[in-house]
Amino acid sequence: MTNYLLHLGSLLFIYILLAQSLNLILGAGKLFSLGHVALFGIGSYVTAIGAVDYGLDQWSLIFLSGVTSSVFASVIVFTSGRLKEEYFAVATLAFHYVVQSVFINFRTVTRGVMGIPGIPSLYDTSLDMFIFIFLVSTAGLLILKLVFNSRLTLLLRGLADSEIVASSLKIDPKIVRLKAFVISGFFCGVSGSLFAYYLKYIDPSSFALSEIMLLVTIVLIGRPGSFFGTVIASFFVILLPEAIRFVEFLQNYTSILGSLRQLIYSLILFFAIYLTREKIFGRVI
Amino acid sequence: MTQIFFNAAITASIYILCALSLTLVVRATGKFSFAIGYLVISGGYLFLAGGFFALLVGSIILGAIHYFFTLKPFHSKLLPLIATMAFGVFLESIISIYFGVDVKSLNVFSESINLFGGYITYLQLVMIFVALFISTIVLYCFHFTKWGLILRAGALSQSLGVNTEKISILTVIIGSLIAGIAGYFVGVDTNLSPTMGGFYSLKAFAVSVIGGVGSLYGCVVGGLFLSFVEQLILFISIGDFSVPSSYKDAVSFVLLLLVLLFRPDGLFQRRKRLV
Repeated sequence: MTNYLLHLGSLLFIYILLAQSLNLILGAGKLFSLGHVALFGIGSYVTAIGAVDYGLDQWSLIFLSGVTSSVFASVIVFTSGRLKEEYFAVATLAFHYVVQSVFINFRTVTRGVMGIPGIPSLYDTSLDMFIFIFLVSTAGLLILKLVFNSRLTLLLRGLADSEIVASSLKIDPKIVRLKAFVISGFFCGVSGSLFAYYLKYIDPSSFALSEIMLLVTIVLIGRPGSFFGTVIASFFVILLPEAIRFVEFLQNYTSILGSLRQLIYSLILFFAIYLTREKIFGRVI
Repeated sequence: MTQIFFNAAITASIYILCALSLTLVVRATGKFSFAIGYLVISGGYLFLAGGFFALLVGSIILGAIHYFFTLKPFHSKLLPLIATMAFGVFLESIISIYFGVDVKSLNVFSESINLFGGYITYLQLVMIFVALFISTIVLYCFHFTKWGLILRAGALSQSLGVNTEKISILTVIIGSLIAGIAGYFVGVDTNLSPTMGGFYSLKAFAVSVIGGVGSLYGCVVGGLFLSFVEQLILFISIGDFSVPSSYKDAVSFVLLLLVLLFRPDGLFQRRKRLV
């Protein structure tokens, strides 16, 4: 039981960091980025390849994963930064599929659908591993909290509200979005790195499109743009579907638990936006 | 060479139907939908469950749900996208609970014939002709019937007192039917798996962006263009380097990114974007 709780806690803190970095873009910037799971995956793959093939240590790999994801995040901005809302979503979805296709097909490096097993474990007990994830994730969250309080987030919100007003004040939308994406991408990479170290095995199916929906659900339920809202929503969204594990009736149907979890997420997401409609982003958009 | 042409035409028939479905939704409601690919996959699975009758009835019901729950209640551009994505993932999880997550095949056997030096089955010929037939009918109705007139007038007809809601419902349901038929083609041509929905949604986006968003001609032209590029790209080699066949789909999504970046109005469009 303790191990199960530690498992949940570790996943929870990985996802809080990931959701918070999406919150900076989707919540504060109102840019519907579907590429964040791809960035998360890039971080995971950098860590897995670095640890298995090159034997690098964890701190340099966490940093390296973050930097690599930042570079790809700036690729998103350069290719689709000037697109309007819905076209931005489509372009980032295309980015997601291109990255996933590389994960699956670039076999010499990523080993294709077989995935990368044998990532060395950092600590012997799951308690130590949890503490490691907790500390790294909390450090990341503290830095993100500073970013949320900074002028950058204010500019990002301003750009989301009216790009024309912001431009008239000599604010360059591209630079602001680039900075936000680089920061957000860095923490995506860090959480991806933690994910790889925690599971010790990664394959392309961990970074499927349905993961994006999980993140979008967290950000939208926790009031987009609110830092603590996202933290609380992560607890709610990650822990709630775990309850179905304990339903007696479902014990015989363990194969459908994953799909059932997805079903619950899609319903939560739908009702969250159906009930709040246009008010969810704090103003009519 | 003939074989390449046949392969491209078969893929194009699926792409054109997906994009037509998306474009009808865009013309009827002015909103993008992520659910198209999931409706396509649902069509294939509905056929697996109960033949053509189930496909027709199921697609009509799904189209109505698509309109009333995910498109109509939202008035911004962003929220329908999220709602249709939730709807799509909902369909995906229902399918994987009911049919299982493994790959299914429709197991339709058809004799293959030799035509102009390439091989093609009768069923694939039927697929190509059905796709041509559907796109001709939709294009004809769009330009020469009252339905098409109201659709083309868009918001203007609403201001003139026409009940556009009925037209919108009808159009979205027709779109859903077309997606369902595309799903049957997907099941016949390749395999069905519950997780392919997002992939076909993005293909629909790619085709309609390449052809120009909101343009019905663009769907046909874009679908043909994309499938021929996907087939021909495998034959291009620069020195020792050539594109491996597994990157075929990645190539089409890179093309989508490039078109969005440099020609957001579509490769073949000169007018301003409609939506």
